[in-house]
Amino acid sequence: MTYHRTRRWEKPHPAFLSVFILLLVLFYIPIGGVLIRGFFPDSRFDLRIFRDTITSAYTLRIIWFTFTQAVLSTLFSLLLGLPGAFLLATYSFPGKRLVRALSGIPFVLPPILVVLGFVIFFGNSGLLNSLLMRIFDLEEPPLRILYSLGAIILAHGFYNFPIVLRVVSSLWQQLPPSQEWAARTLGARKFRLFCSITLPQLLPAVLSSAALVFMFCFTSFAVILVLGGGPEYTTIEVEIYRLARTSLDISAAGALSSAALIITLGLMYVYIQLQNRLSFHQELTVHQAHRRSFQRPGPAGLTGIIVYISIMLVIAAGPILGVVFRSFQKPSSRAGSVLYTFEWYRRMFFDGAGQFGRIALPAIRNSLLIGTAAAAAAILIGTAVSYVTVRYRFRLSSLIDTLSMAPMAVSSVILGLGYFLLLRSMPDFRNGAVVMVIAAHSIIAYPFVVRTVSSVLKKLSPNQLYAAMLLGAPPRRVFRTVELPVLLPSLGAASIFAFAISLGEINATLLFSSSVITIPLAIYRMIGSYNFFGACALGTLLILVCTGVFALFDYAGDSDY
Amino acid sequence: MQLKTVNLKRSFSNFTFEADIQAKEGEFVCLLGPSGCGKTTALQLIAGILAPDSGEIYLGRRRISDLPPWERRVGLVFQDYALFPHMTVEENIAYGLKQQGQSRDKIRTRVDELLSLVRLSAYHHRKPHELSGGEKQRVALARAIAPSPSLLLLDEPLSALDARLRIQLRREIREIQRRIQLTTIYVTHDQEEALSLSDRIIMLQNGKIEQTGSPQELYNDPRNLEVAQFIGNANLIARKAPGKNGSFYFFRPEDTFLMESPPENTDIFSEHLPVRSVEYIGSHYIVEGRSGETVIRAHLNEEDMEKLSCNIAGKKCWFTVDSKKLKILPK
Repeated sequence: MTYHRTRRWEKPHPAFLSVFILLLVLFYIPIGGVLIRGFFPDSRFDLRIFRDTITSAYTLRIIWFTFTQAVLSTLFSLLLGLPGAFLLATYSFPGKRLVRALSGIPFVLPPILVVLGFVIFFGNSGLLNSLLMRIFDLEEPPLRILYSLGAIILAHGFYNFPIVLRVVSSLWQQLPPSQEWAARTLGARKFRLFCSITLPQLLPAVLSSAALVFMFCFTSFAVILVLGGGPEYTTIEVEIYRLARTSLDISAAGALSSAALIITLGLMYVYIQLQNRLSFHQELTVHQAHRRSFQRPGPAGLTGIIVYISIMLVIAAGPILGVVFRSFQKPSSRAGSVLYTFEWYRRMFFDGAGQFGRIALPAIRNSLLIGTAAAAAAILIGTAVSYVTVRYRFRLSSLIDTLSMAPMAVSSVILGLGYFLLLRSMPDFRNGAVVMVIAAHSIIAYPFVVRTVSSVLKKLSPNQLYAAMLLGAPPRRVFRTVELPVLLPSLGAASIFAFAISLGEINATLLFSSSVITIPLAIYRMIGSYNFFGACALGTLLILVCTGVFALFDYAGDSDY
Repeated sequence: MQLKTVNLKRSFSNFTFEADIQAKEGEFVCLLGPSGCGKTTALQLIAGILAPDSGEIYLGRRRISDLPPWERRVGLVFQDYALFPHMTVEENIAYGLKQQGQSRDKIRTRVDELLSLVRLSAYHHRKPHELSGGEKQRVALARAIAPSPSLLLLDEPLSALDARLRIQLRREIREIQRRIQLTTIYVTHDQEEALSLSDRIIMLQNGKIEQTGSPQELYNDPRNLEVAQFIGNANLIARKAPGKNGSFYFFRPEDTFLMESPPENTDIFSEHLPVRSVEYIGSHYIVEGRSGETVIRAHLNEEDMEKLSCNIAGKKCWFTVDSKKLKILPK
């Protein structure tokens, strides 16, 4: 028999337990509420709704379209990302840092900005079209891609190719050149060399990044909702939203959510498997002493680099610069022409009573308030979860690990639906909407806190804590003098990160909150009412805050022991 | 201070530690044994990191087994150093002194004193990641002895370092221990380290004590096969000794000689074996004879080799040992 004696100070602090109860309340109750609706339509168990919903031709078409668009978007992301990975891993060239910086843009931006940027840049009266019309002296806009499958794929590609670029190029750069030399001495030519030596080793990175992109595209919401523009282009997530908010068919929404959950869990499983294989490969290669040396590009390479950077500038930088550019414009009284102005910013901050200011100013205020509160809550939950999963091993710890990371597998739309139902059941809850937006955001953000904090916590070995105790410090003082100072930079970085996530969140917020307007929600509404200039002004503000926040995050993440 | 444990016991799912560790005032005791023998468990029990199932631990006249680690006054040097990454060398060493609430001046004097003791006088403001392995080990030692503990524990402190540095540092550790007269328990799996450092060795196996004694006692007079095999090189021949059932003849290769004709002296034990290999390793030759299960190695110097008439490789020779140097060990 195993006899395991633990002492008071070896057991998790009771405070951690209360955080788990909080997690239970904030996540499992709303999600449980959603899933139950699909099976208990009239408070009695009934499988019919679930069966009818997931077997109807309409739903099957939606599931099919969800898969199709995700596959196409993933392929397009690979098409955009892989050449860049090759260029970054092979050549040294002056624009390298630019490529890296450009590929960082989508990481920084919330989806609503991607949507806005696309409308502004690729739209029928967008910047690209008016530029082409002026250059070629055309009467009609030549590019008509908005509100089509093409727009969805293009936006997903823009949003996700950096994942491919970064994951693949980082593995590529670690491939030891000695293998290539060996293959060359054995007589392999360039193409054969690539197929037989390089490609098989890159495959785990390609597959793992593709799986991640696929997962993101599969559960993508705002891009499809706006750029798809109609029932023809509806995915599971968007359909859940429509069922809940337009058709008000909660049972069907719940049933579809259950189906979506099963599919995303399956995808998650595949991704984790691929990810494990990738880290295995990286372990194999990382120990090799030789680092690749970069070549100077020849004429063909140079052409490739120039073409790639131009495409990146159009696809990645164009929409964002477009948003900033448009925010300094307003329509003039003469049809079709515009004036340059600071009007929107003036109205945003100094004209609270005006039509624009009445939406923009509260949105900014709400976003800041919600972001701060959500970041604080995410830090609390995330730190407690990291602590329990990293520090303490006990009989139920693997169950707790799983329970506490489950929110990553549930889409924010379903979470939003859960809060929507919760809010409906509590009509007397004053300020309920704000509280629930904060709760939803903290649930969405805390897994990122766990990732940041637990990686630092792992670096601090139990021996360091024992060392402090043996030097005379009781556990509380050990926490204050050893653990906390080591954790502090990562806590700072994580809270900034959580703040940014909350600031950009639209899925859950859109689903259940009609009374609390945040910046992304305000932008969404302005797009809907064709006030693109105002949307751009708010968007620019969001871009500014997001890039600032991530620059800060990079800086904080750098201070490493 | 004197360390004494009484009926100390701790069981795990696949292993039970049941051994009592004693150390006299100022004594340097090595816990020696293969990995998994329970030597680290012993250290953790004494330090209070691990709770025993039963038994008591006394340090001087205090019973420390009921005290938490932070009240035991025991210093521990970890294998992975466990320095605090966010503190400078100075702050690391001062940590224990601060817990005692000493004045700032006193702390500064004590830190200077310790840094010069471990020969790192100019290192006050370095961070741990700026130190080499040997330097980290010195800081860890200084940190452990700074609050003047009653007992110092070292858990394989040199195992992460290269061979040359290991020898140098173990001399320094012993030197410092002698100077401050601190009772010390040193855990190692390296028999050479244990022989060179200890006043006394406690040899552990499977959580039990196999033998304790001075390095000379353990080397010259091992009590059983395990000790004989673990410490130094050994020739062991399975042989039925008169009156004993299934035992081994044990002798050291440096006591073994080679003869081309059978020895006449009856006080000499000999074995007639073909020579399988002759290896030169600088200080001496290693000659190995082998026949079936029986293997005997002899360490011979140049002079011994010159006495032999010709190339002995492949020839059958008598491997001899003085009966006084031969010991019969129970199976």
